[in-house]
Amino acid sequence: MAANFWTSSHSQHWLLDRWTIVQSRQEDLKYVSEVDIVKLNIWFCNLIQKLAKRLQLRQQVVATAFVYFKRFYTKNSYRSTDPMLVMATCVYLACKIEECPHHIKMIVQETKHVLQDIGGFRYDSSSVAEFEFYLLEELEFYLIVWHPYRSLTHFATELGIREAGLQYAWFIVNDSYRTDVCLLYPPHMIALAAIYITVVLKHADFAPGSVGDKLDMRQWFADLNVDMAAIVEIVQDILGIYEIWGDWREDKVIALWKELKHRS
Amino acid sequence: MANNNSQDQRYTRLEKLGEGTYATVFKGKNRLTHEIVALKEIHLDSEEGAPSTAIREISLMKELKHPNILRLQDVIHTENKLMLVFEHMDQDLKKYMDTIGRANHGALDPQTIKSFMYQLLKGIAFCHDNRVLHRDLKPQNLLINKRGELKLGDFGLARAFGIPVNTFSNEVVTLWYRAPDVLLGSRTYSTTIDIWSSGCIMAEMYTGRPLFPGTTNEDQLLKIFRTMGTPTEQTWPGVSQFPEYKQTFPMYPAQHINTILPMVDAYGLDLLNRMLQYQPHLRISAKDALTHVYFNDVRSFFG
Repeated sequence: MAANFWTSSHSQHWLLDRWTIVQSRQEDLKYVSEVDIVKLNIWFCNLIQKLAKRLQLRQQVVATAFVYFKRFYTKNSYRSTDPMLVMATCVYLACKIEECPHHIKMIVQETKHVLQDIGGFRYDSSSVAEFEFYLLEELEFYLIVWHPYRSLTHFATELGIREAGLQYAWFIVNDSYRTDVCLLYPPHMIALAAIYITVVLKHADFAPGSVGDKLDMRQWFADLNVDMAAIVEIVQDILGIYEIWGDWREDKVIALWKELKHRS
Repeated sequence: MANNNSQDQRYTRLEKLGEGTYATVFKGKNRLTHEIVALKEIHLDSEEGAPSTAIREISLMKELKHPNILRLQDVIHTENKLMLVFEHMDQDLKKYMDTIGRANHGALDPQTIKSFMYQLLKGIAFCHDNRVLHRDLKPQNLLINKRGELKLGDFGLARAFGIPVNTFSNEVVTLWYRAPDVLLGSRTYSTTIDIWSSGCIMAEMYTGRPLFPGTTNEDQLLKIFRTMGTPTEQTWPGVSQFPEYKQTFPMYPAQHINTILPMVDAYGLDLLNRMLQYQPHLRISAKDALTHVYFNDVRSFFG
């Protein structure tokens, strides 16, 4: 929202460090490994994405729901809460904030649909409404979230990256929400990391005569005067998720989830 | 969960200040510091959760910190309601015009008007700079205090315009302060609608009467046309393409603004004229308005 990210609540209250995130997972780490938690993070994001698809939400709305979900779980453990209820409520709240309101009954109905083969959804509208209250408080009522998409479009235009390259980088940004980078770095840094990956993997096709066509990209990044070490960290986080995603089996993650939930 | 009763007990509820569509506003006192605040209590729907307008207001007010924007100090969450704690202001501009200016038919003195307009435009410029449209500027939403400060309040209808959406809802802004492009059914409006509202408010402070007190959408348009002349394709290219445009609109000639507002000085009239332009893109921006010569003698005061 704000013209200046640095004065936003996102920048001032919701950029965390890695230590804080590790600390917030201590409860769950008693029962499952770190990699397992990463798998669960991916799985819940996938479920949110599925729900969003059924509701035909814009990617910006989905992204806001992802961030709410992740922020909530920096203060709570998976084990002591019900991520399915949290997920549905995050989507409901994101719809309100991004001005594409959906009726609460619709959200509940579609969540039931998404979860029908994996344990179902045992809540009704009033439980979501009630939980929204709790969610708002855990988010400290800071609800406006910045995303990398705007910066990404801006940089892509400046460089002259063609449509296919922009699309590729856009998907990388979508995937970045499976990692913790949205809790750790300003959105424009994530956009730059997405461009970096796109360029290195040679998916950036520059229009002839454009800045990206004429200039050595290493030089372009150097001239940006941003913390390149941070960009590299973001890149590593995103590539790390692809590795785990590589041998992905949902049934295994579901088994993992049941284990975390029921192990005493 | 941080919620508990002791939080609710932090403030004593004093008299009721007003009632809105989704909230009731009370004067309140901090039990500890004795600071006077305004408490906006939001009724919650057990079926729908927090109202979208409230959510929108909270989220924007959490971001917008400026001397000319009402400060949201805290959000308190109790058993079945949300309470927004705002800094307290003595009254709104509407009440001020009704009381202080009564002897003068509600008109304010030129120096006060200039100071209020400068502060209003500062607040709007900050909103626009932060990609927020207020959308509902009117004297009732401008709060003032005994120190002569003015702050924008009630962001229930405000929206961030950075988010790409197809169209905006065209059912906002109280009729009297609504821009002609919105009245004609435009759904692509932007910051310019807040500028039109500001122009209407400025004129009202000089005369003590609303500039265009329409009763319906069409009556509102006709009131504007009667003063500013019915727009034509010559004076407003594309006007006939608006959904609410009618070939049957009576053709009024434009009146000279100084005959309607003889009490406004030449600089003031020039500024008003730049704010009340038919074509949205010709309306002066809040940022440019602040540098207008009309404000030369107050600018140094506000810095």
